[in-house]
Amino acid sequence: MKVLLASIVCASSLFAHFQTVMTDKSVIEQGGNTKVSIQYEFTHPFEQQLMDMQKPKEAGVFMEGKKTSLLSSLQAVEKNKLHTWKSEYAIKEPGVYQFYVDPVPYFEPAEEKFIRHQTKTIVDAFGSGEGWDKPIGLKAEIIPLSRPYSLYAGNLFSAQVLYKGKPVPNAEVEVEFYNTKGLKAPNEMYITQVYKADKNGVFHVALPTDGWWGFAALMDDDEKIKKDGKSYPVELGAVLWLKTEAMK
Amino acid sequence: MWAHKINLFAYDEEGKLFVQSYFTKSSPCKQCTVKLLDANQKELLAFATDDEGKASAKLPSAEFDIIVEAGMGHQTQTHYVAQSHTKEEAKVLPSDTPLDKMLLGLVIIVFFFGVLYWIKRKPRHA
Repeated sequence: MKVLLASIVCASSLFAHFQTVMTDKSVIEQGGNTKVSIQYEFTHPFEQQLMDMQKPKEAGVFMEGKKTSLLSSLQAVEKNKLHTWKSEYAIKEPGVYQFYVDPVPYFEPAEEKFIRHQTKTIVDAFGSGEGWDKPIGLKAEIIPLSRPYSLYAGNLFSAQVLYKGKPVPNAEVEVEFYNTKGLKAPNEMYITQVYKADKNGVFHVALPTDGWWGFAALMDDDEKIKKDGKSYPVELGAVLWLKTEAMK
Repeated sequence: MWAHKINLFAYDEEGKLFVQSYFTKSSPCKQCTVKLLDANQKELLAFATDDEGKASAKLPSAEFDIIVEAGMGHQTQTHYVAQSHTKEEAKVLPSDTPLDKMLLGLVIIVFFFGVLYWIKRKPRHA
């Protein structure tokens, strides 16, 4: 009986962890508010079950080849006694802005590994239109092949997975919806969608509803992290978030 | 070229309007006509962008429309509310103009001598 109970508990805790970076807007137009609010969470997006997030190692914005750190402007936001983070950034000129975060690796005792999700989201200011397909230079990174803002629900999204700047053949990509609508999955298999990239690391995903979607290409990092005298592998995630809108 | 969509970025500082127009960031709208229109769509000002798609002009009023024309029917229009346009710039106070200052000075002089005349005249009536 105890074995059965343990199996059930284990099975119900297999939701995917996702680092998030989400902004209050993905497109900034002339005459609109140019201040971008950014929120950072470590969560199970579909289930809306937060995890505690330490202050990240790095958080910033990338525009036209230049990184600007936002680490000093980060503020902790407590939700259900768990930490999430927020920051703000005032956009002053046309461009495509990639907001990114590199979190402190999280130790997952059940899997005996560290999880490090290098995560980004992309904002266009004033119709700049260029730079959304440029790598920031993260160790693991998803490069959009479809413009990652101004997508409709139902659009097909394509992207390429890179590790150390090179395509990852057959990369496994987990996809989850940031479920603020209270949607119910038919069963747990529907919570995290799984896709395989081709030999060039390219994958395609249709996005059936409006809202935030997260893509996590997971790979084994070549570095290990020591904890209590033992070396543990690191699951390195290239994570991208984008928002679709309903076609009305 | 994104279906030749013209984009417009405008801001103002210290009473001056700065306009940047482009198809994509690296493809400027060169030598394009910029028009500033009032609420009745009457032209307040017209000028052209340079080869970087940039132009600047003194703010004509606190609010106006900006139109950028690139020919062949391609244009973009936006309503603009200036941040650095002050009432002092919009309406010069009467006391600030030399003519009004002269008139004010004359009134003061006439008033001064009027009072002096009234004081001197008073004992004669008594």
